[in-house]
Amino acid sequence: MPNALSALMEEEMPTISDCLQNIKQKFIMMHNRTNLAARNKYKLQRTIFNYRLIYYLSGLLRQLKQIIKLVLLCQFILMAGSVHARQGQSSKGRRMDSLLKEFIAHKNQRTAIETKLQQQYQHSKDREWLAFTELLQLARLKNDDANLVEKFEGQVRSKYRAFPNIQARAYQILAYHYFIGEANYEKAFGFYLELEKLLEAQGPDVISDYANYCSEIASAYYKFKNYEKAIEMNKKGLPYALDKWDFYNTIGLCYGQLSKPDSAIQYLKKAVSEAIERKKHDVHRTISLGNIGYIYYLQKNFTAARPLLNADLDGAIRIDDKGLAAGSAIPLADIYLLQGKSRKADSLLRMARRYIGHSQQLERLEKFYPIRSRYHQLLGNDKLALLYRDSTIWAIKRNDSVFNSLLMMRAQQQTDMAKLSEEKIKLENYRDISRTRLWAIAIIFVLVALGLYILRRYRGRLEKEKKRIGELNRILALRQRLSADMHDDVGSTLSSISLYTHSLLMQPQNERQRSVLEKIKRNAQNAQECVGDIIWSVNPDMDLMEQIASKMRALGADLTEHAHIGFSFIETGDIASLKIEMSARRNLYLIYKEAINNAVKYSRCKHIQVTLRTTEQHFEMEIADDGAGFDGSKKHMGNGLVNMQRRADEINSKLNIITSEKKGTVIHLIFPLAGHSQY
Amino acid sequence: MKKKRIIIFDDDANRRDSLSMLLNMCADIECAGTFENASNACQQVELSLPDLVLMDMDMPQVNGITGTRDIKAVYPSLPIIIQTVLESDLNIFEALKAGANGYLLKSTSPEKLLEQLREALQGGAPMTGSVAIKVLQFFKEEPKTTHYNLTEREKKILKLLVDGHSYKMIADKSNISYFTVCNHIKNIYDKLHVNSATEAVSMAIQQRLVKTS
Repeated sequence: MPNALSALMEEEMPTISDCLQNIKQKFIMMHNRTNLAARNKYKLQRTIFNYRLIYYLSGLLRQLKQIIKLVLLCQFILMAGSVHARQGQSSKGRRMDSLLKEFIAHKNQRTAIETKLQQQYQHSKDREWLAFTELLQLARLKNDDANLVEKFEGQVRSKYRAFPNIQARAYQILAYHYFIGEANYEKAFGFYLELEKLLEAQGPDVISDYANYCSEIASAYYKFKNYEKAIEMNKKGLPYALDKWDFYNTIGLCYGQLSKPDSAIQYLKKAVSEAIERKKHDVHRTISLGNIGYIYYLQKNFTAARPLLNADLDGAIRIDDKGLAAGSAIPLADIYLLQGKSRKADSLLRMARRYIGHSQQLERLEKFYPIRSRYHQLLGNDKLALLYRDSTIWAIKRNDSVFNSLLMMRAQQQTDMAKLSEEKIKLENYRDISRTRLWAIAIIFVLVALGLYILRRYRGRLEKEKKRIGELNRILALRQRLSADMHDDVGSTLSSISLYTHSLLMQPQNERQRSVLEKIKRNAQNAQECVGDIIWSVNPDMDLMEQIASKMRALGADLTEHAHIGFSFIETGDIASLKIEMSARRNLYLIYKEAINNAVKYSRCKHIQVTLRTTEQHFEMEIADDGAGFDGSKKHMGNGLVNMQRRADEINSKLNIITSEKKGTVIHLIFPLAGHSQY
Repeated sequence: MKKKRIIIFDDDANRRDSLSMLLNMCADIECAGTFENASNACQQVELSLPDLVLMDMDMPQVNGITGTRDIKAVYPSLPIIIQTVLESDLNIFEALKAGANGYLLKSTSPEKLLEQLREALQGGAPMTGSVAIKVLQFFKEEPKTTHYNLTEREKKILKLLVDGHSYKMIADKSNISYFTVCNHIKNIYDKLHVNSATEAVSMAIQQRLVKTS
């Protein structure tokens, strides 16, 4: 039977080393697999993050586009609103214009108009009516009080900024005042230029009397011999003018001065037909005819010129406009001279001189003197001819000094300077605003980006924490599973070994065989216990010192019971609340196990007492037996005591062994708590 | 003396062989059969007529708990001892509730194994601290009819078990005999079975309880 048995055993029992090899391979494979998984996970995380970033950015861009759309919409609404406002303005302006005309024309109605205006203001609370009233005051008093006018000048720009119509009218009144009233052409021209600027800025929709203002400005330019500008202004106002006669007429005259006779005649003919159509006073027709005649005269087309100039002269005399008559008489006289009719010429010239004197339009002398000189030249009066030549020069000089282009240029320059500086300020403001806007946008963008970044970091950190915890949990679970697997495989194999050996032991064996079998069995059992302890020590449920104490008690009871030794296990202090980390608890338990084993096996004692004491600072463990004690030198006991000391050092504990032959052995361990008892 | 018959359910061939060899070496025990899984447990019991069943916990197809339940449904008085690798296995308690009479760790030494088997054959029931905790918890959580609730003495014994005392130490501490302690443990098991096992089982236990209480 034993032979068969041993044969069976040899066949079927797997070696421990094979088993262990198997387990080791499994462990390595599992380890590799977890590494790979971790790496892939990292790659995936990065990609996910990139996609997330892109998604966030595109979301941000969408938001920005929406904001820009909103801003544009707001701008559009504002513009539309302003257009509507402007249209309302112009109808009011027209009312004011007509009121002003009435005011200036009919002196007796002035107070009535003023009271009506006051009522209007009270009713509508529109400050523009108030301003208009002030304007009327100005219109009335300007000839009396120069100070008032000056004061008003300063006000115009600032006070009436909101009312462009009032501003325009004020400029016009002031310009006219200086032009006609004080003959201060420089100042007058300055105001005309301001008016021109205002018209440019506001446009015909806002300024109700746009056309008339253009015409007046054009006349000023004409007087200052800037014929191009005159034509320009007239053409600007032409589309908005009801009565286009003055426009056509002046444009025609300008073209005449610019030596463009064809354009001049074209426009003057338009003027004539306009005068007829509009059923204006005949003098308008004749004036224009006269102008055409003058062109012909300049072209030396005397046959065409004479009847036209005659018509003009007749028309002027009919309305008793002496200046106008003089103006047409002079070229007519020249024609007669060139046609040899000196006497007719002389009478015309004398009439012209008289009319010039009466009308005080001394500028006409510039045209008069040369003809008179020619007359005398033809008659052979050389001295007189020379005299009149000198007079011509004088007249030219006089005219020039009055209507000095330089003055005009200077006025133009000043306005230009003012315009430029205004624009510069505007640009600077705009630049500042846009710069601040840009900064604001940049800062907002940076803040938003920062915010997003912080959010992502925070969320990332949270997730990282979660992931870390998940990782730790997974590692823990893995470890437990591994240890369980190992325990299973290894444990079952070891158990089988010990069972087989026990079976053999139950058979009769010789001494040598028996001792060998016993050793085998003991080895297997020790191995099993160790494996069991490892499993137990990595189990996180076994944190509490309380549980360790229970295990200690169970072990002690078990060992002593079989050896028929008395056993007492005492706990003092608050052991329940102690939490000791994994490695420390393992070491404590193993020290205890070694001590108990030694006591049971070697001391031949009757009683073992174990005491566990817990204080604030430390945890004490004492194993005392009443046995024979042992030789203090460590060599005698072998590895056991060395291991105990090593384990005690690992957990920073003090180990005392007090042994004597009579009193037995006490093994005392002090384990410090501060710094250890956290988990 | 007639040998006591024990059958083994275990999926590990190694274990089956070693255990059966061990049992057969004993003078008073013999191994009446080894089976790989418990799918035909009742049939196999019927064929082999054992005095005790050793049931492994983790088996394919039908695990230890189901096997226990199946057998106990037909043979309520047949003692079943569960074998398990880890003491902290939650299933142990489930198996005990299903009617098992006790459990043994696979890592117990052969001597102890035989000792406990012999005890079980005589009607005793091995119990350890970890199971004792669960028993206490179980009775605390589920308020049952007062008939089958734990007595104070039984609770105390369980608590001492939890703290790691052996039966002998408990006997010393409580001033009762070792035999009395074993009886108490047996009663505790019965109460557990009454509350959770199959009807047939509980009927049988109820009769016994009535007799003893």
